[in-house]
Amino acid sequence: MRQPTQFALCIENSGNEASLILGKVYRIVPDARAAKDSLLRIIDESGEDYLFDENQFVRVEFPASVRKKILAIQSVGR
Amino acid sequence: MAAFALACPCQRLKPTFSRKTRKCLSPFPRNSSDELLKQRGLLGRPMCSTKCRMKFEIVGAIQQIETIAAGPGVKLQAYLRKVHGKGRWRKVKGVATVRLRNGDSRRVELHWYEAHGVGRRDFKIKKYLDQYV
Repeated sequence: MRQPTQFALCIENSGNEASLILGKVYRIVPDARAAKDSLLRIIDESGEDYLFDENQFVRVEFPASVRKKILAIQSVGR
Repeated sequence: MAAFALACPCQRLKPTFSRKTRKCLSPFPRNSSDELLKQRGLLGRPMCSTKCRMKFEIVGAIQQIETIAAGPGVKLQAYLRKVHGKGRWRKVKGVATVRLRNGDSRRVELHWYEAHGVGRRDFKIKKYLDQYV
């Protein structure tokens, strides 16, 4: 079964001030290997996926309707 | 003397040398071995936690450096100018070995932004290049 899209809230952007905005919700791309190194694959402001430290984010969950809206907003913004 | 230049990729730190011994006094001299870092209590720590605050340390030189985008092709131009100041921002990629927070070393493709007079900013890991162990 396909997993629902996951999101993370940025709580620290030191070192990546241009790519990540504090308090903004970003989409997580599943990456099992990166997870072993405590990294998260995130689609950042540039619209590309990069590996960031897990401590820079807090995972957040949304109802299906909200997830759909966020994905629609993010796809328009690119 | 260049061999003792700081390995800090953000280029914000300038190397400092002892006047007597001519040895580098910087905490992370280029090509610093694990032994040296252990002696200084820096093993496994991010390279310049107080300066560029990167979450990983770049070990050795960055190779195969290529410009991916320049001018209007850099999507984050506005953010870069706001955060780091005006400049001809370029998006660049390269291959390097990085030491992660957990102490493991990985061969990765790095992407970053750079501008003349500002230096290299916003280092990000794009993907692993070494084989899965």
